[in-house]
Amino acid sequence: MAESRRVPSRRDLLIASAACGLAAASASIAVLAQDQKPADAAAVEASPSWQAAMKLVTGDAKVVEGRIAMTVPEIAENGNVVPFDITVDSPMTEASFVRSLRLYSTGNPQALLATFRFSRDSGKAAVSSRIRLAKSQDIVALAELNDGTFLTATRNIKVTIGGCGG
Amino acid sequence: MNKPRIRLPETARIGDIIEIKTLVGHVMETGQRRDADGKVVPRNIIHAFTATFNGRTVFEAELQPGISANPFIAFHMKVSGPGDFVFTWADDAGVKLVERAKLAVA
Repeated sequence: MAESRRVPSRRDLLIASAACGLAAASASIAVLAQDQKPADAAAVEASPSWQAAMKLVTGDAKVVEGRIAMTVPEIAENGNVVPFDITVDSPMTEASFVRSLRLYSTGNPQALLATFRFSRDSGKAAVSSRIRLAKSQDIVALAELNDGTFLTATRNIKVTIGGCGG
Repeated sequence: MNKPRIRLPETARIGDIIEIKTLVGHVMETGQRRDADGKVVPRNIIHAFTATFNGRTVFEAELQPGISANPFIAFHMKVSGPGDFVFTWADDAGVKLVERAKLAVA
């Protein structure tokens, strides 16, 4: 009946929630291609795992754990709004600075959450914002230094109510 | 998008590292939700944010659907002197929002 067709089936809803973020990624490639660095566009396109997304950025470069301070809640009651504050322990001088900081989700359908690019005027490689997390998971920060090496750090966040647009 | 809110220190000294806080109202629609008729609500997120000071880019962000609605972004800048900030947000619907702010140096 017409009416019953209007109501999304359980299957529809399951597909929608499973794909949360993924279709969005493919629909946005045209936009991203114009104003994003190729590595990120590719990472979004080929989103399946956060490791693969990260590898597209790091390539064979050296990735070292540490020197990143991540302030996140241990338990997030609302996965729709999870605040974070990340500071990379590095000077910001001509000789030594942080180019960018990427944040990855290990449990959302799309791994890359955001890319932040600093400048020589930044003074401090630090950023705060708010993210959506579908479920309890690790989030991973990846900082790119001017010498081509990378720093990484991971923090676990327990999510009480998932935030995935549902 | 609605009128953005910017928070800067009222005054700063040359050489200070200041924090700039920005907040803009936006649904950040992921492209996954369905409306009452079961149709997918098209994705519309702010995908790009840029901050310049006296014409030089200080900070840029490329956002994905994993960023919360009404995106809050805070970053830092080393003060080189007095001047003007220009903040720009761009969304998938082609809307571009520009906000300006002055930094006074004591």
